[in-house]
Amino acid sequence: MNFKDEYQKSFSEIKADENFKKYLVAQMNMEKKRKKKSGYMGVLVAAAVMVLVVSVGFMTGVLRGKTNPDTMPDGNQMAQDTTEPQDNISLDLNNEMMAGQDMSETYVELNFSGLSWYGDAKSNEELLTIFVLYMTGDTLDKIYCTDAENFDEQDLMSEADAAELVERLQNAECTEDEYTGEDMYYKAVFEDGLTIKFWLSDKGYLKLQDTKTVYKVH
Amino acid sequence: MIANESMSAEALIEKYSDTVYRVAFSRTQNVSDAQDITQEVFLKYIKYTKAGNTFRDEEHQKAWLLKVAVNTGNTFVTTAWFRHRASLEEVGEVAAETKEDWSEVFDAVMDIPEKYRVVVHLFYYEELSIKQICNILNMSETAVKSRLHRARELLREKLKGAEYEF
Repeated sequence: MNFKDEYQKSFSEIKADENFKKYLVAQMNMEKKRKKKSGYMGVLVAAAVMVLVVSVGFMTGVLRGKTNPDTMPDGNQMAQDTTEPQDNISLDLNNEMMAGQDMSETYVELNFSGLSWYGDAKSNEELLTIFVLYMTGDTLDKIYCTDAENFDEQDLMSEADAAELVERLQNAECTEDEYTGEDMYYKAVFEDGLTIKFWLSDKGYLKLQDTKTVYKVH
Repeated sequence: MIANESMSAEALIEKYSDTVYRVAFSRTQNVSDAQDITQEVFLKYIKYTKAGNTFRDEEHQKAWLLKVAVNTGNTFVTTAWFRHRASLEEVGEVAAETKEDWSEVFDAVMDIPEKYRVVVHLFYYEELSIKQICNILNMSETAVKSRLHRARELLREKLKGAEYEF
């Protein structure tokens, strides 16, 4: 007997219900009719968000400088912190952005875009807390999910799925267990351009990009 | 080039809904979950084409739909809701689909781990080449061949007694 023939024969009986198809058509037509956002308005909104992000970044930098000037790293120190962060944590940096800039420019760029998301985290617990704060914060823009290492637009999670994932991540805790299970790759993108990649296995183990620490998600 | 937005929703659903639905069903083994995934895939299609994206030809269009179906399925099966429902099925609190109506081959495929089912479905039902499956699953050729090989081993084991040619 031929496996393919038997499989095709049996699976051809699996079909979407006719009423469901009608419902789908209606849904699609509704989606088609929904007006696209105006390009002009889109540009205005993007510009407004950009100005806001830059202002907040600038004010944060100014305030930090005023309130605690001793802790303000110089350009060289900041660049070092970003490329070789604490606890072997690294970020998804855009190397092209860094190329050809002197250190003072680099510091300003990094400060504005909030790339040092892990802040002063010195332990795995602190790192996890900061990660969860980011994931539950208002600046989270979107999350990609795939079982391969490359992300593209098709891997974008729906808002409902992303919300559910974020809810799960809030229950993460440190564990001594080994990371096991089938990997899913995730990339969280924030409004200021920051990205944080992480892995979550089907057994509920979580790993953050470039760290060896394993967390358990219940 | 396919003029995507000009293709009516009716024509698109008529042509591809069963294809997408089958991939979704092979992942979730559940009608309502498969419907959820199918709906999401076609809404993504509308958004994708509304954004001005086009497809080279029908093969490209179908490959895109299959890829999105697989990826949406991946996301879906990792959700807490899905895992909760799956665990309820395991203890018998939720009735699974009517398995008694399934053929021996279908039953065997549904019984192997989910990651193998997708490869089996794309290869044997959709009759895609290894290279096409690589593109859809975003995996290397070696990884796809390895999954297919392992799937065949598992199926042979489950179909002991019946001599199937793979």
